[in-house]
Amino acid sequence: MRWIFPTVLLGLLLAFPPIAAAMGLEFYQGLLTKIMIFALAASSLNLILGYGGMVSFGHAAYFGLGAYTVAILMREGVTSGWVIWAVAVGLSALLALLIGAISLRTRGIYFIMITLAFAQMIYYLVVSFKQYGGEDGLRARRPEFGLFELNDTTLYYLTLGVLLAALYLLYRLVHSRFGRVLQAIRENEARALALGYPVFHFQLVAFVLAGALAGLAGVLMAHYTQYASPNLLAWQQSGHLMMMVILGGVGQFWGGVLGALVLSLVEEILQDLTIHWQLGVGLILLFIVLFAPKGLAGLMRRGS
Amino acid sequence: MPPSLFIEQVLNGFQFGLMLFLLAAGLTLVLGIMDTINLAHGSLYMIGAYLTATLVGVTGSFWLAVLGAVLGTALIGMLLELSVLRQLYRRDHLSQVLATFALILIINEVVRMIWGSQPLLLSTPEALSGPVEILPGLYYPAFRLVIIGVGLLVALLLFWLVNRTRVGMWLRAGASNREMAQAMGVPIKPLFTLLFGVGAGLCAIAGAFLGPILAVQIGMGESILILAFVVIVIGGIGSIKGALVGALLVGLVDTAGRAFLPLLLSRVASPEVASNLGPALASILIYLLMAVVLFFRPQGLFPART
Amino acid sequence: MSLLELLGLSKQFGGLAAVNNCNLRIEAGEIHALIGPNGAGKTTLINLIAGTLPPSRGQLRFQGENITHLPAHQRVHRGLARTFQITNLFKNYTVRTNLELAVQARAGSSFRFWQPVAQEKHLTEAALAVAEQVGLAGRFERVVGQLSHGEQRQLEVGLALASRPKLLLLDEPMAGLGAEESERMVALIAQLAQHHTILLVEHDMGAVFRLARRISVLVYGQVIASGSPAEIRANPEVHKAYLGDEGGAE
Repeated sequence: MRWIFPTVLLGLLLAFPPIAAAMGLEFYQGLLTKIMIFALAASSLNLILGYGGMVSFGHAAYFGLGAYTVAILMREGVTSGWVIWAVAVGLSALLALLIGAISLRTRGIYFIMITLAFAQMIYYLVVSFKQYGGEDGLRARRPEFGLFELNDTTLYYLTLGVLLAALYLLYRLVHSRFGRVLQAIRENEARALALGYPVFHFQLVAFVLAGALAGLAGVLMAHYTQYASPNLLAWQQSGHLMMMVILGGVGQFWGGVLGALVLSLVEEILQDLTIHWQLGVGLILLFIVLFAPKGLAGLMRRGS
Repeated sequence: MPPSLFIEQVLNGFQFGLMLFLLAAGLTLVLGIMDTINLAHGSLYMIGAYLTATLVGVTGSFWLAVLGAVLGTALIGMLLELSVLRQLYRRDHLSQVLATFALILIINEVVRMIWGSQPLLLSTPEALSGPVEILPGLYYPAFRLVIIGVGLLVALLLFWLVNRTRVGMWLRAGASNREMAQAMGVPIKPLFTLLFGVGAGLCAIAGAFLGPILAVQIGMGESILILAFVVIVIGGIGSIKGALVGALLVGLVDTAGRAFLPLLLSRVASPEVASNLGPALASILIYLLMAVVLFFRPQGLFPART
Repeated sequence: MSLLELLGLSKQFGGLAAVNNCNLRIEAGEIHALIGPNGAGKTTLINLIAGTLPPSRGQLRFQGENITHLPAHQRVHRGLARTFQITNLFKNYTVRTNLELAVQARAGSSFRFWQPVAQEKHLTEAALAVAEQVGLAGRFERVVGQLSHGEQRQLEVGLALASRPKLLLLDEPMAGLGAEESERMVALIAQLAQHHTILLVEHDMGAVFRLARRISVLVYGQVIASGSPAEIRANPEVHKAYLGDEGGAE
């Protein structure tokens, strides 16, 4: 019986766009697209934060880099979607390799701060280039994919497909030999080293993979808003993604997805109610951290 | 480049560095002694600036307003410690980051509810608004000189407090070995509350004096908070001396970079490249500084724990 | 050729020399005990050999190869495995997972990202074999945090054993054990010695003199004597170092 719920859910997600169009609910199709993009970004962060125990405070760097790659390449006349995707993911992975190789030499607070510092560097670098919009951001037209035209509905399906593929990849990964070692390092680094594991390499590989996936999420975000915003690179964005992970459940497989879903819905609802919606978000987050440190996934597990 | 411009920029950097030190001092002690990351430290700086701006309107005196803002912010800081931060000392860094990130969101919104979204006007006191001739032919704003004076005075007071008083001895003991300090009978709980109050008061001083130069607006605490973190990571977590050295270093490098880097680049590169790359490099200079320091000294320049 | 050679090995912490120009040879097949008063530098020496700390001066040779600058994890693959003086295990995992992780470290690459590790039966079998060896087969599915201190010490040895080392570095395996548990540990070490070379750091002199074939005495970071248990017992230098120390401490 375990497969009934996922199958029904997947069916609903697949059938949603035509239903939404028929009922005039296109807004919710867009909202779902956005939630799925954040689910991808948050799940990538959960790999290093939850499974790897690396508190990276700079995940926005890869997310924003993905979005800016789309905007800049389109502006410079590269219009093939596939090329743009490949470049964006490659650049994000490369950036993560660079940042990871230096940051992973440090631990604890120093690691948090140095990842934050690198993300700030990227932020200031990007906004200081006036020809790429500076603090106003840059328009990101939708590229050509050849096989289909990228509109709101195909983007929805594309995002759904990418998210499912990424989740499958992550699922295999955390249950593989590699995933088990990554978690063992989080549990006890000195012991993992004494068993003969090259700790640094395991952490770096996870760090690069998470960066690449976050870059891909950034690409989708640029397709969604048709715009690369400096906000995607800001440190508050890193905090926002961390918020989703802890809300959903750190190191719980569905933590990223659940957190992105719940936080986005809460933000949406509060924004309708009041201009002071951030107060509500802050209070909820504070409550979760103080009283439900395992997140929603932990609460649900305890409840069942 | 005229020497007067150079001296002016060095003074600006020195002045900015001293204000950064006021922010970093509280932050580094909290981090060193309680092993607690407090992102909301920048919010206290913002509260200090807002309180000053409001109290100037009420009392008509800048100095009375500063005094009131320092006391008020210290009180708010102690209330924050008693209500939220106290719960976080034994939690992991991730929880601390997120809980205090939540505090930033909450405090920003509360400030918006009270004062509105528009930036507040906080002008320099009338008597200090003019320039002063500090060297023949070299004029410098009087208010900035006052900031340097106040910064130096508070820094001296803080060094006296940490190095010469009983409370300071407790703080140093706590920073180098918390368990031992507790075992020796240091009253940790009230000490931490007091420390938070002092740290918040220092933030308010920085907010009050930087308010007229920068801008009193929501979010003003966040960019400077990250600078303060850079300062304490460079200086070594838990070290007041490190915070001072780090703050002056960051203040000078940041100011000098913004003033001189575009000039220097324009000599070696085309004007177009220089006008683009100059500001970009200048804004990431301090982060590069931090990465270099950490590369050679992963514990910062003056590590408090050995 | 000796299995392990320490040539003039030194480690400074600031101005303090924890290990000072230390020379030592471990021959294949022996149990070599390293004794010495508290603060003599025994654990520092183990950390130098295992690669947890870099030496300030001197050379380490393992099977004739210079391993002075080899990272810790690569030394494990060369055949050097250690236990910790203070129990150092994956506390939230079961005995089974602990041992499987240790087996996995030597059995093929761990940079495998796709196959579920839970389906690798041979890892479980090898882990169970080690569990039997250290007397924990009956506790295989238990979470480590729930084991007794003695059982955790046994697992500590098991984790080192699972990497099939040529040289086992045992850092005070008896630490904190009761009389009965100590007895079981002595029996375990004696049994392991049939197939392994062992460097044993231990405070329990009864155990040391029963187990060791050769003993080296470390005082102030230097080896002052090395020989058979009988030679060490008769050595006046050793008496002086120990009686001086014990006389002061007790």
